[in-house]
Amino acid sequence: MSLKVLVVPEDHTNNGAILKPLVSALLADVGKPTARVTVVDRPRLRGYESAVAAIKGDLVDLYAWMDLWLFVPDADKAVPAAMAALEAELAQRSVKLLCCVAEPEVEVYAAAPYSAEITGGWAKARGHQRFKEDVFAPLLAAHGDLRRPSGGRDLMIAQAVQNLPRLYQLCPELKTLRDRIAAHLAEAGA
Amino acid sequence: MIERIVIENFKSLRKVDLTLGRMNLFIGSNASGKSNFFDALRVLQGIGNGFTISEILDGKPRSATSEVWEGIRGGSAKARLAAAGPEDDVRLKVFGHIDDLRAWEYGIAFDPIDGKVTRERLKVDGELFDSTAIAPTQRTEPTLRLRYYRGGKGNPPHLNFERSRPALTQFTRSNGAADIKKAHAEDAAQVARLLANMQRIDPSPAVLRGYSQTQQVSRMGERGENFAALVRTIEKDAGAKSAYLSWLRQLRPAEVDDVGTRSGAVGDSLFVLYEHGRKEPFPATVLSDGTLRFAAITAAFFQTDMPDIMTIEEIENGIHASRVRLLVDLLRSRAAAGTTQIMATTHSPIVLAWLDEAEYASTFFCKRDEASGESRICALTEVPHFQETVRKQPIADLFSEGWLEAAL
Repeated sequence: MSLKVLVVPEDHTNNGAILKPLVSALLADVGKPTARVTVVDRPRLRGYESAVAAIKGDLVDLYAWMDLWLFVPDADKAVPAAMAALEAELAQRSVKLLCCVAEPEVEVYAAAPYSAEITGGWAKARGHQRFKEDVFAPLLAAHGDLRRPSGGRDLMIAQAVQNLPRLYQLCPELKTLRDRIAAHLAEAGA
Repeated sequence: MIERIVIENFKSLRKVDLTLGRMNLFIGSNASGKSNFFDALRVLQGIGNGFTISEILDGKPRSATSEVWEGIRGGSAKARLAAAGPEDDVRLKVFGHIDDLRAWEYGIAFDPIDGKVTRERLKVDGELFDSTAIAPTQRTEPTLRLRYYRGGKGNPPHLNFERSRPALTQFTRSNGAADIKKAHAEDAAQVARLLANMQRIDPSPAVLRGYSQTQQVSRMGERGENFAALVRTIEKDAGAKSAYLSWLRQLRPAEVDDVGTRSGAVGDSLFVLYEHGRKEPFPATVLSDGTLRFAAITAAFFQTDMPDIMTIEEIENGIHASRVRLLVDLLRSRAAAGTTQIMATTHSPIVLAWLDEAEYASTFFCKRDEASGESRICALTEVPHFQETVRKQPIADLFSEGWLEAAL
């Protein structure tokens, strides 16, 4: 039986297009290349509050049987203490949830291969208040393809996961997530 | 694009006045008036093509210069609103901009039974021409007298055009005549081209399973004729093919490695799809209806000759519920590209669930009044109490549980 992983995005279309291949790559990196990754598309999630409400509500009824849940929100609203509390709350309901806050937004992972093209540098971009609009949009225009689903974010993240060590270096929270997944699998004997 | 449309006395539509967006969805129960709205668009297309009113309504056989034109459902006999009197003309008015800068407005009134234009008007940055209205007592008048303003005020000269055919294209074809300025003929031609450049997409799986006789095409037929030839054309552009494939990959649970065509004995082509781990491709003949329809609708967005307006009825036909959101993503992404205005009908609550709030203004609810048989069409944002209710209840529920019908 392959490992079943649920990914909760803040929005399915754009974040989902990045998170599905990204999570598949992380799982392959911890020895689970055949894991089945499902990105939540119903109920339709519209931002942080809606995702957290779904995690605490409908999703438990629907997906509690899945082996692992991952929640990857943007950093503007997700604070570490709230994420830890959410993980603890779900643990009490027999759901293994791991949260990973994207600094500053999920698009940062698709932008990583093009870090050299970012005006002002990567470190500054990671704290940018309007990352999606000011930093990511020009990269998407240059490296995406508006004819594709999610405007070509899939092309960019495919490029990013080709070099996971570099992605971990640029986005340490992903390395932390990867290590936490590995630790959970070891503990669960999966 | 058509930014606003007004339809009066046409089929079940007594008066409909809609402000349109790039992506427009029409929802409502069966026989609520959605298809009648699409028939009105088809009348406008016929006008842009320069057909006579009778040809537009009743159809036209293939000729040396044009393909077969199917009339609208019910033909001229059913084109007028049932409750309207014989003197109530069908009236259509459309608004837009040429090159995003110059406002245009085109209006026409006609009697569907005798197939004659009774009034016509075109504005492009001000009056370009209008006609004296033909009163019911003057219906035998053979010509439409057009006041042509020549771009200025004053006493305009009159031009006479035959009444069986809209003057718009007659005016356009008068380009070169001493009394019509070339720039004005070109403005009229631009409006006519926009109306004519409409494409209806209603792919039939039976047609999609067939071989395409042509090698390559820039545009697919309404029922999916030449679908395989279109895919062959898409294949020539590596970027377009990769983008096309990326949509199909999201549709099917089994991984799609590739799509392409197989050549028949005389160079004709058949659509094929390659699944991961299988050597032999699946030809169109064994693919499911839903896969084929989605592949064809998606291919239509990769035509090298895109229409100004694309109409698609019942977009979700044959598509599994879990993949319906893909259609919304597809329409939204192609509408955002800004080249083609999309008009689609749907019966799927899931389509509505995937709309953004800003898209409610160009999502239109159609309802037929039981007593009068007349249809109302209005944007969701104009349905009484919609805006406050949709914040509390999922839009899909409001639609499927009949709330919208009750509210309008």
